[in-house]
Amino acid sequence: MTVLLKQLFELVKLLHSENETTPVAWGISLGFVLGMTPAFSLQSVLVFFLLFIFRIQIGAAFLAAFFFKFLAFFLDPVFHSVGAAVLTLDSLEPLFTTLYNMPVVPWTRFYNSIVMGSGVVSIALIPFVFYGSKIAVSKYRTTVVARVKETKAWKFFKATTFYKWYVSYDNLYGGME
Amino acid sequence: MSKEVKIKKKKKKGPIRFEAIIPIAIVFLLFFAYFKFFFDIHLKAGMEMGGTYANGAEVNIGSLSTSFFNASLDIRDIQVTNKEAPTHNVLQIGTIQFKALWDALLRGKVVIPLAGVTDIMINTARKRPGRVLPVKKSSDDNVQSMKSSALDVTNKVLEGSIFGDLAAIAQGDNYKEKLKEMEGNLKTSQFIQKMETELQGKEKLWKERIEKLPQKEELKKLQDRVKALKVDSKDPKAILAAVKDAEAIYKEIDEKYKTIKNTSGELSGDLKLYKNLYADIKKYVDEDLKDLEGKLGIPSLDPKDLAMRIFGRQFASEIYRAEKYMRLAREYMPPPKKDRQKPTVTPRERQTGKDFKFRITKGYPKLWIQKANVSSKASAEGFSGSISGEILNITDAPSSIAQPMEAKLTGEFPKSQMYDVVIHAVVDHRTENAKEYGTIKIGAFPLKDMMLSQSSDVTFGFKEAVGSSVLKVELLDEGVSLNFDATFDKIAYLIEAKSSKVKEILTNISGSLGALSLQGSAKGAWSNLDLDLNSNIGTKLQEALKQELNKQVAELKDKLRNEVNKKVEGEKEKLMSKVGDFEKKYGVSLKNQEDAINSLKGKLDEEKKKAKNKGKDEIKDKAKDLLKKFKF
Repeated sequence: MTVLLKQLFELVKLLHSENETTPVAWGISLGFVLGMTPAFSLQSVLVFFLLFIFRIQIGAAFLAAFFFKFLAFFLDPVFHSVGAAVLTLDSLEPLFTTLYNMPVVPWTRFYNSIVMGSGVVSIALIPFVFYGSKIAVSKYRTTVVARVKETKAWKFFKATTFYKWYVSYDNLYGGME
Repeated sequence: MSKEVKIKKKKKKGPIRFEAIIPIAIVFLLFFAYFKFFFDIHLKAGMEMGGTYANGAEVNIGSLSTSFFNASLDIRDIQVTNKEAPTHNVLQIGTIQFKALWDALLRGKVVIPLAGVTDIMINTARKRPGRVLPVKKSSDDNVQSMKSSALDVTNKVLEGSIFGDLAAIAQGDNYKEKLKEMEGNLKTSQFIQKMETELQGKEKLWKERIEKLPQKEELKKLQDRVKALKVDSKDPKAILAAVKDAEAIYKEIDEKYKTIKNTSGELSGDLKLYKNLYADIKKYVDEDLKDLEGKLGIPSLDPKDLAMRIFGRQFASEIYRAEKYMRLAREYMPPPKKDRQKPTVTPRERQTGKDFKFRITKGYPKLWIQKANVSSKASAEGFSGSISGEILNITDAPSSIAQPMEAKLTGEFPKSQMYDVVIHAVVDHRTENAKEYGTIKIGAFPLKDMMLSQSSDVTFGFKEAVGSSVLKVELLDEGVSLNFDATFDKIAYLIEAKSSKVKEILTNISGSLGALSLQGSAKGAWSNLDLDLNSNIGTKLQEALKQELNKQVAELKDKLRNEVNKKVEGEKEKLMSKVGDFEKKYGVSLKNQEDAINSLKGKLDEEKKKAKNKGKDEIKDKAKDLLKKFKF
């Protein structure tokens, strides 16, 4: 829980910093994949593995997963159609038969129309989500953050001892991404 | 800036989270350490706890080790405390070894190509008494308290003891007391009384009916009318009138005749019925005799019946035990295909979609022990023996594999002197019609102090014997088909009897018997088993009874018949004389009436004929006269 909260604070900080946008964009993209997958499965484990191994913003991933989970409810009929179409492709049948009889692979439940459909759709949309997120974060920084920084309330807060103390602390001990 | 804050220059970090490697490694290390050092201990404790709870008494495991890479489990020295006698184990198993297939585990299935269960011992002494849990109603108790329909049925058939009954016959005639007891309940007496009452009712009825029939005066009047007919007249008109009158009288007489004839017919029927009472009374006498014979225990000399009465109780108690264990075993067996619940898809929050099936080229059921070797060596402790064998295809989904579950065991139990034991059992639940059948052969087993009959009059049994048996069992849905063939040899009989005659008979039989054979079968539903037993002891007993007791039995039967006849003779004669009186009174009078009206009818017929002929002649004469007048 502490790690998660820390990640969420980190996300807020990242959004308001001048640093690069890639970790946040990757977080949102993988969160998108997590959110679209109908249940916990082997591909979810793979996504978690990627989140922990690579420098990807975990908070952004979890927030995105939470958000896209709701969206996925409405997209299930689309996923079903796409999945059914893929699974009934004659040319892919030998491949699916092999996968179906392989160890471990059936645990991904790839043979389910919604799992297959959501997988295909989310993987196909990853580049768009990734670049879309990057652009969105940049826009957020240049519009929303810049506007907030110009407000009197922010200037007042920036002038407080607490803020100065926080900045010093962050410079000394912060930095986990 | 005079006071320059020394800001720590941050290094630019690469795409891989190297700093997370150590925490993750620590987590994995802890995980590994737990499985290496603590998992086996905790699994052992869990199994002991679960086993104790399931058994109701302490279950101990000597050691347990698992291997992740080998996917294996090795359990040693399992001791299951006997909750009835906590100083002993109900079961002790030296080793249980399993090694699962990783290929199946990666598919979420447990497939064990070869398992081993060795050093099985029963009823061994414990080092210290096992803890017994407070008594709870378990399924085993349910089975214990299960009412055996088979036993109920058999107990009804096997009331009394054959040897006790023989003793009673040999001892003398207690039949008179029994007869006295039955006096008021003799079916024959009851039947005669019933018939008497019925006859009284009939008499009243017939009296009324006969009174309504044409009486003498009425017949006389009709007779007078017939006489008054003027058929001798020369006047054709008068003759025609006489014929007309005759026809009217005839019609009247005919009606009365028909009424009398019908009544007479019905009376004859009733009389016939009452005359047949002799046969009915005889039938009731036979029934009374049969009841008496049953109460006095006069045995039938049918060898099968004799065998059933000697061995039936034990046979039934064995079937009862089989029924109990069948019901207990079925609680744990995978259900047949038809009873299996169809797998349900657990509804999820999101839509479930559709699962597409692809051809299975390599699939397993959830649990499948392909082969389990079972072995045990005889030891000085408890009921143990040398067993070896295998159990094949233990699975939770029998329909998904090609072969049924099969157990083949051979062994011997020297301590219990049981040799050449061969067990073959098949549990086939692959189809809707489940099949469970098996054969148990025991080459030799000892019998000690087995009492076939024990009463105050006779004790007959085996002091010692060596038996061998073959038992074939097929379990059906709610029934059983069981056949067995047993032989008992080297028999030392135990014969005690108050009556020296009975003792002599039994000693002679046992001396001439040699090996005793016993064949039996039980077929049908548990609640309605068709039991059949045959033994050479039955045949021998029959022969001996024929020689020794046939005369006595026949004499006793004659005595009984005479006694019964004596008891009912008076009543019977009384009844039959009443029937005779009834016949005389009504039958004869009705016959007279019938005859009278019949003769009247004949007479009238004659008169009618005469009148018609006379009429014709007169008309002819008149015609001739007329022709003469006209000079033709």
